[in-house]
Amino acid sequence: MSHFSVSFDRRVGQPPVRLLALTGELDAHTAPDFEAALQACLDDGDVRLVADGSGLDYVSSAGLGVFMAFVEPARDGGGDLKIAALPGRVFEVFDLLGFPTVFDMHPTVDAAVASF
Amino acid sequence: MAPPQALHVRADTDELVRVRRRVGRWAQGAGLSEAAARRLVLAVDETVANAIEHSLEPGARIVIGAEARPGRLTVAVRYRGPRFDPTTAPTPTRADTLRQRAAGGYGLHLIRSLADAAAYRWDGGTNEVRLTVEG
Repeated sequence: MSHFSVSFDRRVGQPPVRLLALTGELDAHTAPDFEAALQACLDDGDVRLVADGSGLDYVSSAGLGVFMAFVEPARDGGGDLKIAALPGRVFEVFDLLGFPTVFDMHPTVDAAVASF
Repeated sequence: MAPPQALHVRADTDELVRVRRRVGRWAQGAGLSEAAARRLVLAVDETVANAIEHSLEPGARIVIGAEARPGRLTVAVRYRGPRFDPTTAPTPTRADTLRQRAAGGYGLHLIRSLADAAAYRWDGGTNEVRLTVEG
């Protein structure tokens, strides 16, 4: 049974922002699923991306590496990969590695979308 | 001191969730706080994932053992493979890693940041990483 899923079929706002809703545990086993989802968004020409972390229970370095690998391609295309609504215990891991200095992080998805 | 406990897993990332669940139960049994348990679970996950991805052939085995003392839990990760010490292996500084937007290198930072003590031993072809968390 998979312990992680990512849905990325929603676009909101104008110009549209693509939402990626993360659920479960993002680890070395499930990080490739997240990577494939982000790549699919870029392949679709979507560079304004918000990762909705409200359903995320866990993240390890493999998951953090996926965020890091895609932030520059999104920015190079004129967009960004923003991170929203992380639960406190998950935010702690991002914070420990200094990710808030690189990523535009928001307490809610609405705030992240509005910030584009 | 409680008797030692051990978990044997295959060197496959689909085992990581089972590792985390077991370490979580050990931490609960040892009376660690939730915050301390989370630190230990993540540090062990990173150590095992590192062993799987960089050191081992698929199908190899990893043994994860626990030794509990009041308010403190030590988890030992043992596996045969090339010698690799995650407690001292060179890694870019956190700032450099961030500046370079590198996708890797975070695991070793996490292991060293999260564990209150991390020790490494090379024992006749077997790597042993011991991670201790208190609190």
